[in-house]
Amino acid sequence: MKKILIVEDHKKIRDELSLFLSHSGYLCEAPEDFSDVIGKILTSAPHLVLLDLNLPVYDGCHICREVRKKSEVPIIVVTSRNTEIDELTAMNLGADDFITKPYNTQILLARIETLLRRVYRETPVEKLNCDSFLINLGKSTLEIGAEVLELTKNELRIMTCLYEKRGSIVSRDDLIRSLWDSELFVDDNTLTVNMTRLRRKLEEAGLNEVITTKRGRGYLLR
Amino acid sequence: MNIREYVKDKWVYLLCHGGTMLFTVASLYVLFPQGGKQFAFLLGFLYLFAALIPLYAEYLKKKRYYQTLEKTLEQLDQKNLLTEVIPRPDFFDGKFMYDALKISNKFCLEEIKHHKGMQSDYREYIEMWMHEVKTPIASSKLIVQNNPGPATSSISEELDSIENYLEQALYYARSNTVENDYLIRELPLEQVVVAALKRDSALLIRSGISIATEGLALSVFSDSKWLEFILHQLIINSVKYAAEKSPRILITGRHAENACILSFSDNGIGIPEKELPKVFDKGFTGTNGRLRGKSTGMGLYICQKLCTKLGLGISVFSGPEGGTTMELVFPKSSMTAVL
Repeated sequence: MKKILIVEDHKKIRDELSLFLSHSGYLCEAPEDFSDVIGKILTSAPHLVLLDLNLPVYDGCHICREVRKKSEVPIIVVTSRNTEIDELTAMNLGADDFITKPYNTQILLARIETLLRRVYRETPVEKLNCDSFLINLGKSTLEIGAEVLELTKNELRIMTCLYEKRGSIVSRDDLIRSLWDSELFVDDNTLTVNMTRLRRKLEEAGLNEVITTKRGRGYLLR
Repeated sequence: MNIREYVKDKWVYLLCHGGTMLFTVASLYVLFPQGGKQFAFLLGFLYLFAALIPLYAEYLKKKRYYQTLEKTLEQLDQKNLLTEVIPRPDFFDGKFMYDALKISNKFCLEEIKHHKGMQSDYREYIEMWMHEVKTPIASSKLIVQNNPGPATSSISEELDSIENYLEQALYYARSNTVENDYLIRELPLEQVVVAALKRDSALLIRSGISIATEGLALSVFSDSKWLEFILHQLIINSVKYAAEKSPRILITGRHAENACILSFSDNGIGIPEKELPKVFDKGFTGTNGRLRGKSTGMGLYICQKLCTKLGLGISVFSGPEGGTTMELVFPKSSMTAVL
């Protein structure tokens, strides 16, 4: 589990952000004393720091610069100023990314994920195993024994999304949101078309009822 | 100032001296006829000469002074600084006017300074406030996120619209300042469009609008934040005035002569032809805005102001059968080629 250190002086934001990030599968630590944030960052050695620029005692810019002298820990700067110049200043201080308040939580999550993946060089999983078949992410195909089935970008994303929540129902809204997060801007009708095609493809390959429809609730991958 | 005007101004003086001269000549001629005609006229002319010389000298002096004044006034940018630039005259009436003008100017300058100070105080406060209020919005959004439910998701929509109004206000303030807090650099058009779409994903998914993009593999020179804001306003408009059946947005990029054009079309209710020239006016809401409510008439106005500052063209098209197309024109100049 990745550890994120939240440096934020606004108590409510700190608590809610911790809660939100722990729901999303991160271990959170949020110091409430700001007299030695730099030491705290260095000793607790988190995988990532979310740093607010507007802080008591030392301001965020100073902290960012000092931490950079001793550590390469990825830092995402959070601020309410949102011009390109502010962004540039933050980057010059050694921050890895920059996000403006009030942030869109989905975007925040995506930025955190991307940065963690980039810094810790996790080799993305190539193949997802679904018992009767494999999803090959690199080649965008389904492998059923020796048979290989080509998938479109949308179909691949739908399959991965269903795989990630395997065994539970995934609503159409969740599917659409997940597609949008991967920059595939589909609407409800397109999703229906994609689902139908995907189902037909699977059936033609002999995989019947891999994806079941729960009427009014969503889809389920077995 | 010319001689005729001056003479007109001094007519009492001239009349008196002319009259006195005539009277002198006449009385000399009558009372001392032995002195002869010539003597009387000579005395008369000498008198007139003595009377006119100082008048002419005064004319020359004033003419020089007022000419300088006129010229300075013409060249001066801030006309109220006139008394700071010209010298104090050395003739009585001029001195009087100069001193009065100086007091009046000083008063003016102080008044201007006072109002400028007040305005910038107010602006600083409002701008600070706008940044401060982002914190409670951010925490509210997180609370909503952590407590999913129908009530909070409705609050979330309202928070989004507060955020949008706030952003409009911020960019409005920015579009008025002389300071350049924008940064022009080369941007892949696709990246900006994708960022804008992702940012409004909740709104777009909720309204069920289908999105298509085409030919966005272009690069333009602009400020990504400002451009994203402009696109955000266009998206909001498209959603607000969307068609009821299968709403669509098509975003395309294309090359034109000396420019790249990003066009943003929807199949919404469109804009009546006679209102098209007015859509960028401040506070213009139009028939659709009034019918659907919620229009402040500020979004497109701010967009146009920002476009002017960024050196972009913005134009709107709409057909009688509905649908609106907004076009952003990114000029390709010799300068951008150097960059």
